[in-house]
Amino acid sequence: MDKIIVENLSKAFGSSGVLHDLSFSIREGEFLSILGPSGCGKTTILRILIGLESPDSGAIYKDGKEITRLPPYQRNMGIVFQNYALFENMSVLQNVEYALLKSSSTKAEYNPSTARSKAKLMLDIVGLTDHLSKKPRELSGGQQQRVAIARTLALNPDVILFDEPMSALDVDTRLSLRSELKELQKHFGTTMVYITHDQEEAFALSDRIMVMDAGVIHQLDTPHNLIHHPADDYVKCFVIKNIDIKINSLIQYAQRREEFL
Amino acid sequence: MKHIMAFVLSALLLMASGFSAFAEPAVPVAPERTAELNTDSNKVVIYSGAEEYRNEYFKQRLSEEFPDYDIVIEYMPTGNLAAKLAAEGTDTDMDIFYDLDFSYAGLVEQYLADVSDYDQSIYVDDCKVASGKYLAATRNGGAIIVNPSVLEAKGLDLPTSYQDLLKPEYKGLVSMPDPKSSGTGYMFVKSLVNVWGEEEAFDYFEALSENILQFTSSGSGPVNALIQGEAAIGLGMTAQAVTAINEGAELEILFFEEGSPYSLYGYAMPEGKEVRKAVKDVFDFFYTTLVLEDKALFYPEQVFIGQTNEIENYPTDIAYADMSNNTTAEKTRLLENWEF
Amino acid sequence: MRSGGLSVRKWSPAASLKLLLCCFWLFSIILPLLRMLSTIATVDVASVITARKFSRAFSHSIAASTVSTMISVVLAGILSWCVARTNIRHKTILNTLITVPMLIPSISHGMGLIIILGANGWLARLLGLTGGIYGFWGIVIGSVMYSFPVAYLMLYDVLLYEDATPYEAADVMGLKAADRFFAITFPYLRKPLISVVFAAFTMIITDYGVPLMVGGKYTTLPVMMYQDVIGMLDFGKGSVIGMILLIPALIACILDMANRDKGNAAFIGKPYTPKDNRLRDTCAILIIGFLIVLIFLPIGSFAVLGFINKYPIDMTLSLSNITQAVHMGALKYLCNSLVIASVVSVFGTALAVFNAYMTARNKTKMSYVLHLMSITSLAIPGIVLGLSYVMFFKKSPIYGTFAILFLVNSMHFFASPYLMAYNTFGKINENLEDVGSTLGIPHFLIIRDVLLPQAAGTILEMVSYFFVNCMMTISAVSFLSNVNTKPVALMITQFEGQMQLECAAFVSLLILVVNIIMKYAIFLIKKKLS
Repeated sequence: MDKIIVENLSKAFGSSGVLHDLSFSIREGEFLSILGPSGCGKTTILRILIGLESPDSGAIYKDGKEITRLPPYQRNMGIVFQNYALFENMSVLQNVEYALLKSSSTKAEYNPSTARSKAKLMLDIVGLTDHLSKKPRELSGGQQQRVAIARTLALNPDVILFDEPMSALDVDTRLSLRSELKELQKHFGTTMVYITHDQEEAFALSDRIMVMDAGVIHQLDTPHNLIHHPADDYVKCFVIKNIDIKINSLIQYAQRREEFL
Repeated sequence: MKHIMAFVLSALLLMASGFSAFAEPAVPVAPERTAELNTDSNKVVIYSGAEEYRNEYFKQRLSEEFPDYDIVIEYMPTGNLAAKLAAEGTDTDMDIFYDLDFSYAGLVEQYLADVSDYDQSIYVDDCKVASGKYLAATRNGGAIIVNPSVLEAKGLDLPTSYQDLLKPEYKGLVSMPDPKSSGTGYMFVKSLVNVWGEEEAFDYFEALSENILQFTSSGSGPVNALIQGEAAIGLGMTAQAVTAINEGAELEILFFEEGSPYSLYGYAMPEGKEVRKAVKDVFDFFYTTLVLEDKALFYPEQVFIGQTNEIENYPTDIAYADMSNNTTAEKTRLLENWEF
Repeated sequence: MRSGGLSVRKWSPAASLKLLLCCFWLFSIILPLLRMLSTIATVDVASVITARKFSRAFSHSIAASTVSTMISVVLAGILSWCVARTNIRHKTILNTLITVPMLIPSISHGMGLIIILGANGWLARLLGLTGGIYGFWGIVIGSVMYSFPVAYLMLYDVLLYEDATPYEAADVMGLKAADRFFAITFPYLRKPLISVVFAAFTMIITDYGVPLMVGGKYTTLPVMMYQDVIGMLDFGKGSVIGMILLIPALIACILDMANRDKGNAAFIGKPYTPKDNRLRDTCAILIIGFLIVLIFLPIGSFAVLGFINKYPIDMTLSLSNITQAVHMGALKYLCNSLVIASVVSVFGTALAVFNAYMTARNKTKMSYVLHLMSITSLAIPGIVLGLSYVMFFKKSPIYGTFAILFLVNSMHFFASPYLMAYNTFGKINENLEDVGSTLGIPHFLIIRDVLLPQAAGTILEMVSYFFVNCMMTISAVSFLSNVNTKPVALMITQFEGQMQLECAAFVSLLILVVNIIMKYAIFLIKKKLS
């Protein structure tokens, strides 16, 4: 079933970028990655989906209802930014508590004590129980991103958008966070839309991948179909080139390891 | 017989005018009030270019005379005072100004209330104001004032003429107020222009500027610099020097043959202030009483017919310089060429 | 389809607030300035500029300001290096001592200089110096006195945040100290140095307090402007000179902006930690100590002067200056100053924070207009601003009230605190508001609970900046205040006009004490916050 349907979306962005008449849908509970070089318009799509920006034309439907004009907080969606966007002046626990107590969608449900236990629960799920009273700047990048994820999840959105959440993290952290993210999705069944320019990440995580360039969707399909049935030369080059690079670097790594040994 | 009568009469008239200085002082009477005055507010704000000790005296006398009025006297350097009026026009908190240089008063005349109904026959001739916009308050005489101990320490003699001040050994020892910002400074320039002619006078000041330590912004600057030992010779105000001497400063007052330059200071009300009773009462009190007392106690040089004042250590029989043609337009013209 | 509804809802409040701010700037800076410049129409500008006295004053200003700026920046550089790059202790105290000269008006520095180095100054007599300090060197020494702490603070910050990695690389390569300086430190310092140089230069070239006191015959442009406006009531000519004085400040502004945009990424890296070096630290202590003594000579001198009878004829200790100052209303005027400083530090800070929010965190085309308007005040000398306010506001109901003093001071000192807020807001996470709106947290809550607490340190510094400057400003308020609203700093010019140095010294001291208390209070609050 389609969770979100986007129809004929157009939008000028940045100094020269334009989204051209995009139409696509996102399925309930799927993990969809939007893959493309920087400046191709993927972040703009995300910001339009959640309502931080408005399209020049086109419509967006969620669960069959049009949400194009709804303000972000009425869409029951969450977003996780590359730079975490934590409340630096608050502790880890307060970051989540504060969101629960002040959000227009949850403040009626919670009082300070229920908010606290819910916040603790969410932080436990992302493995931060030992860091509750720390300030964000005392945490590592990966831990900070976990706080941001916990804060977003706490409000029970049915769609979470990720704007290159791991591009500032080191390789090891990325790998572990990646698998945790996959776990979380299974656990909560949330629909996730994930922006990245890292093909490996997209292939590892996604149910489907949307390959974009210069404001145009080249193909939206499963990883398998992207490799075996590329829609056009762009997708073919893009996917294969990256697989080649991957293979090359593996070979190099193996050689170096041998030398070292 | 007729001729004899005419001769005697004219002789009597001559005597009367010639000896008017020794006549009984006239008692100033404020003009009668014809219109109803506004009594809404008892506040009177006076800006004064006079020194602090004189303002203190005025404050005390006014509070004795008008216990119900809220009277404020604020010192403001005469240039600032004029600039304030010029900028604000009649939209000012100033109700009365006191001791503003005539040349400045002329520049702001357009903003002043008419006071021509005050009898000016009590003033000596050069203190009468033709426009009737302000009244004379003070004659500020200038002198060459020296600090003998500073000169002595450097083994130098007292100067005896303006030409002496050009001697190289006085380099950096002479202090003079800037004629552009100080009326005292200007009166020295004007007096020498009148005696020597413009070209020679300006050549003189050009040469003098070699020896000048500092052109002070205020007319009281040089005497204070002398007291502090910063300068040895100052072109300053006689009255200020006398006050300093009476307070224990070792200064000497000299006059050169060109005579003592002087400038006149006046008082007035900005237009629209004269309709307030409190302001008018205070102004009248200045006219009838305070200005005379101020002359008797602090600035004795003659303003009123028949008033002679004696102050300890104040030079007597001062020979004044020629201060003719001392108009606002002339001042603007002369200072346009002043570049030192 | 167009979704205009959303865009209207999202942009309208911010855009209208910005419009409101622009209108505010129009009335509080642009129109008054234009009103004053309109007086230029009556002046033959060419004849003013080509006059010999003008070109002389102009070259005096340039020469004195250039030399003062160079000395000031070099001194600040040495001193900031001594504090930032050594392991000496009590750096907070040293920083406080070094910046004390920033807490008194420049005219007080001129006064202090006369007391110690004047023809009859005690140090001049002690050292047998003759000739005095009036003129070029007087202006230079006085200008350095009050401008170098500003340069010091800027350079200290720069050195503190310099990335240490290049130095580590240099150590590995075995570079000599001199090479290190020219290869790493100097290129890194080049850009901030330009900012520092222009900030100091602008400050010095627009000041008239020091040249008025110790300039002697060496007339500078601000003094000439002072003479023309005050002495000759020639507002037109004053405006022409005011315009000329705007130029270096404008250049400084433009350069500064160009610099700022490029230098943003320089913050990542590892802070520099000085290695242990006894000899270096001892030398640094000696240099710092020597300079602090120099700084405190004039301040200390008038601290003494405030308590003696009549310098130098009656050197007995007395409280007569205090009684006289109090009798003349020093306490009432001090209260006026405190009221003005308090209101301005609250109102000005609020306005600057609001303005900076609109320009740094809500970027639209109008933000640039707003940003430019906000920093123009940096380029307007106080005397120009004050004069333009008189002309523009004299018919308005706020004229002659405290309100106009609040306004003129808020505007006069706006740019620096505004830039502090602008920079801080620029560094705070750019997605905060977005995260707030997606989480459904109202915008004002995000500002109140997250943004402002993160900027608390900066806001306190802004409050203190406004307060301290309101306490000591003379130029902008001298035309606008009257007997009811007069701030205490104007008593200094009142006394100075009559050369009553003792009373003027006492009033300077009063201002210094209030400002030190304020600084200390801010220090305590900041300490408690962190």
